[in-house]
Amino acid sequence: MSPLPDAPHDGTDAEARPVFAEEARHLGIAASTWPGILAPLAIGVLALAGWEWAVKAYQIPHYVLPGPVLIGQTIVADWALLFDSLLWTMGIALKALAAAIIVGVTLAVLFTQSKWLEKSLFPYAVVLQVTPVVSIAPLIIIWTDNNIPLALLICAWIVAFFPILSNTILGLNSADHNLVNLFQMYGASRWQTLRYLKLPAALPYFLAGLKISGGLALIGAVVAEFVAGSGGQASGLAYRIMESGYQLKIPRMFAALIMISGAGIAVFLATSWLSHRLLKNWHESAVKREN
Amino acid sequence: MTAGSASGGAALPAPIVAIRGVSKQFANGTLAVRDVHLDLRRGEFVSLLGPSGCGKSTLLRMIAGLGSPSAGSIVWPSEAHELGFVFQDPTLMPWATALANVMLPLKLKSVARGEAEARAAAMLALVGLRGFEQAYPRELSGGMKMRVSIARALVTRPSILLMDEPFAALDEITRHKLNDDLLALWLDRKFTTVFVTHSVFESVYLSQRIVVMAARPGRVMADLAVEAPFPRDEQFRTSADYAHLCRIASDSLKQAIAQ
Repeated sequence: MSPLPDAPHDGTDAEARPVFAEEARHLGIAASTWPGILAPLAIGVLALAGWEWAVKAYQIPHYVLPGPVLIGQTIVADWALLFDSLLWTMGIALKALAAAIIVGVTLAVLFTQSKWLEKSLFPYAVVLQVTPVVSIAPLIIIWTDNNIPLALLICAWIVAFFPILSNTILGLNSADHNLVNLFQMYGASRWQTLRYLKLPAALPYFLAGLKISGGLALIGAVVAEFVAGSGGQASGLAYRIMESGYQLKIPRMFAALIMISGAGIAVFLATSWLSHRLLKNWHESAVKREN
Repeated sequence: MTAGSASGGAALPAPIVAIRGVSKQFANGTLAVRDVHLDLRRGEFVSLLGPSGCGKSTLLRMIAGLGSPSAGSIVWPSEAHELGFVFQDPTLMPWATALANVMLPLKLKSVARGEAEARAAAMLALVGLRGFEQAYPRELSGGMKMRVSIARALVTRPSILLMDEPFAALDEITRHKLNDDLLALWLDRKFTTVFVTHSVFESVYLSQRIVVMAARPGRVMADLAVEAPFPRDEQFRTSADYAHLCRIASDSLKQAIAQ
């Protein structure tokens, strides 16, 4: 936050400025954030310990349920293979997310510039959204002439783009009505109104959509890979899961599963961080007040 | 205070804007403004005083070019007129600093960045916010946000400033201070001011002329001249003259509401 001068007692009402919570930080993380990290961490450690204990105590065979220690060992042992698969799946998911951002924001801007365009095209965006990707993935694989990476990309994009589209439309339409009038009064062009008013006003909404779409892009990529199945190239994490299933290498299956979850969490943290960075100066969602 | 005759008179300066028989009917059939005739003269401070729903804001918005009259016309005798508008809420862009908010009108008019920045900073200083250039709206108090809003309206050096109940949401102490600061700016720069308010006391304190309006349909009921010298200060606020003028305006408003 910018350093502000002390309140001058000159009747400018500066004494009435809001007070913001100034927090102590440990290791660069605000004190009030730590419980949110430590509490789930403690639950996780307890659950893993209980799991390991149960597996040992009841002598559950590892092809039914491997213990966390064995899964950890598998992750280390198969790291090269699994990490390659992770990169492949993440590559598809991130490209799909990028495409979802570009298409979603562009369509949202076009829709708010022309009501007719929105009325004509938005229903089809909804159709894309409500059609289960599992059911159209085989078609897409056929249409892309067995170009599996492209097919996966399209599937992941279909799943990811709608939240960005609908949130950005909402954001572009929620600019302060009086500010819109002010822009009119100063004879602002369409472009100026978009650039200086509507796009900034839409930013919090877009970022909320991005948080959802980030996770969806990954899910879309994984689901599509499942559908592509053994017909696909032996590359992604979903393929590793299927392969391990066939070969009864259940610990590796769990390892791949954990890497998918880890990737999803990483995407969520990255989008949350980005959102906080961009909004911290102005948006209520990123502000802490003292009562 | 003289009633009714303020728009006659030969020695009066030319109007900056003439409202000729303006009516406004909304799409749902509501007649918001009916047959208003009003000359706003260059440099004068006019208040539009009336109860809620008397069409004073609608009239002000039409003067600003937001929405056209259903009947009648709004005539600007001289070609170029620069407008400034202050809303009831500060209406600032929350993602922009105080300086960037004040720079906005200049940016929209493609004024060079350096010049725009200098003018905006000078304007902020003039409304008492030197040092708060880089503050975001959420870091400012209600009164300070309103000051930023006034600075933004004045940064283009408008010939006419339109204010729509700008201080209605502020506490009384802050409102009095802002009234005084607004009058000082007006005395210094002599822009025409049209000030919409529902407060008799505020309108008498600020104006040279009070146009009293009535509701349903919105129409002009009286045109009062406030004959008290400027500058006005705390002394005026507690004087017998002020009390007397308030009584006249208040009676006029009561009559307008009763009809």
